[in-house]
Amino acid sequence: MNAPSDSGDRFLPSVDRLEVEMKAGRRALEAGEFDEALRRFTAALRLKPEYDAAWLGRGHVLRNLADTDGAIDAYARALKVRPESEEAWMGLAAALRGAGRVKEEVAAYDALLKVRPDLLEAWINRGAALHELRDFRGAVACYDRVLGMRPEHATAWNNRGAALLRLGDEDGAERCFAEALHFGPDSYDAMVNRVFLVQRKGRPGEAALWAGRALRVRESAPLWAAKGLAHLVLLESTLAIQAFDRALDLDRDLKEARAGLRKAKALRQRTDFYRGVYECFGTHLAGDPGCAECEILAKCREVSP
Amino acid sequence: MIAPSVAEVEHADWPALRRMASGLGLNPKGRSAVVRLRVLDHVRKKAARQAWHAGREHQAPILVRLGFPAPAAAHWEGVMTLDAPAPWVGLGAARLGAGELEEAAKAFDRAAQMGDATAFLHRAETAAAAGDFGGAVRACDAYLGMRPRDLRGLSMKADFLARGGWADEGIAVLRSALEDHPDAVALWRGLGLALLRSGKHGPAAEAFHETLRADPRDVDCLINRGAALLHLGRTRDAIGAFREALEIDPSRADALNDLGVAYAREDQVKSAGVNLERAAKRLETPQILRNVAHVRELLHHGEAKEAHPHTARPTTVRAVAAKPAPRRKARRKPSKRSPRRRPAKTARARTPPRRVRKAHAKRRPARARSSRPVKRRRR
Repeated sequence: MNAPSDSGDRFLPSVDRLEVEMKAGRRALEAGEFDEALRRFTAALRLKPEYDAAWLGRGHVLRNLADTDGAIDAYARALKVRPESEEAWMGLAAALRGAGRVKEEVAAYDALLKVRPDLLEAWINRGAALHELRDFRGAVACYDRVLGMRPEHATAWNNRGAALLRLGDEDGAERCFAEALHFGPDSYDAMVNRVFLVQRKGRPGEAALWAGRALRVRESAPLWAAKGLAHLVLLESTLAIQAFDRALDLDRDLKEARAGLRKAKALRQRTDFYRGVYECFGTHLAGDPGCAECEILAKCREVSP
Repeated sequence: MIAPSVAEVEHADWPALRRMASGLGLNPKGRSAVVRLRVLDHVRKKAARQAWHAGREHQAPILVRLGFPAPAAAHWEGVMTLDAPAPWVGLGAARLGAGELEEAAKAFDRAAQMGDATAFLHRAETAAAAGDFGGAVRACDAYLGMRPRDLRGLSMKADFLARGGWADEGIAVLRSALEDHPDAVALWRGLGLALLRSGKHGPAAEAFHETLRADPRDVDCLINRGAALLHLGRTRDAIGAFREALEIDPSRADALNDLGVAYAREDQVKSAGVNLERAAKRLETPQILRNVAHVRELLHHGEAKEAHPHTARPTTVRAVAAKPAPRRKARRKPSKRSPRRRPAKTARARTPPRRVRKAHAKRRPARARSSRPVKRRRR
């Protein structure tokens, strides 16, 4: 979508009217009335075509209306008027991401970071964009910048861990996820990443444990399936069946869960462990006082790697 | 059972951890790290915060702030001990609040004798309240004797010197303080104000510029810098500063007024009128209203200018004090003529103010997102 045309009906702007239009536009945007907001911002732009705030508002509205190209155009116009606008750069980057133009998204963050080198969100998002471009080292460098400024930033730790994992540094990734969970004990993403990490390391007990904790925060079919797979490895067929059933409740088409359910049912014909009150079953640690007095120590040892 | 603190849980040994878990009604079985996690979750989410009750020493300062100095003084007297200077300082503050300056000074002296350096600063405030700025400066010197180069002491001393009429000495103190604390933005700001008050507009503008380097969004500083530039005759720069201030906070009546005055200086009478009227809408001070009246008068003459060009007069309106800059009077008296015609609607400001940047601060379009790109599933 383009700017309103420089038609002959433009007149010398009334400041009051412009303010009224802008306020009404913002109010409508906040209330989710996007058509009304678009009408208001367009009216404001007819009063003053080179008004960056109105272009910004228009960009936000169009992005909400899924008109990504229009939003990109609006943000670009806002930046033409005001090249240092942080909000416009962030909006442009988000719109570019929506359009799948990740390289340009990175360029937008680069431009913004030249103006505001201390903007954490921009560094985080740049890292995430580089991650999508498979430039994991670049992503890690971005997260390191964030952690240099805010060492307690849980999201940065989590994203850093994800990037390190892709670089094959499993131990580094594990440390990062531990930090993320230390600073943000309810960090869902860090829990899920940890589940996949420990699965990869062949520690099903911990996978089941962290999947359980993540599922308390938010349910998702793949995560239930991952939990089911962990129980399957721990020979806990009943728990595995329960997990796969729940995964299929949430997503009937999840092939992984369907296959897992078949295996779990077959396993129950042969064996079925019961962990009792021990949430940590399958994570036996020699020398740990809790493990030393555990009632199911022998079984736990059998399945712990 | 009272919930333990996070630190206690993190450092508890196994028997203590088990006791904690059992006491909180949690499952005490399992690997120690998992039990610890369980207790930590409980502490973070469910444990009630420990009740805190305000003691007399906590209530007393609040009472002073609420305007009840007499009961506050009684509270302080109730918690006096022979070796603690803090209650004496509190008692002094309560007496000061009650207007009993001599009693306050005695209490602060007592605290100072007990070795409390800050009591000297309170003593200085008491002296200043009594109008004895020389005494206030001496008390500050006593404080600085105990804590040389202390930022608070230096800035208070500079303030008392300025209030006592020794503006140049105050400025010298601020300059020497800046040598020790070059990063203290507040000092630059104070120096700028002191210079502005003493009519040294060039150095004042430089000092405000230094402040703005540290915090470019300091609206007061932008306005004060604009005022200094206006006095220096750099009207275009002043307009830039005021406009920058208004972009950050469009509701600042003082900035609108000063911008109007600056436009008037530039003979842009219509723009001046628009901004001054906007300022008057927000804040109807006599000064702003006088400026509005004057600009309307000019506008009238400006309209007549086409017919009688020689009747045009130079603008003489001065900037209204930009808070917290010193108040300055408008040079002109209010016009006693009959009210003039308002400027035509179409002649209002050509450039509407930008004011969206803050309005959407909450609606950050792209939030920091976390990635979960490592989904490897075991088959």
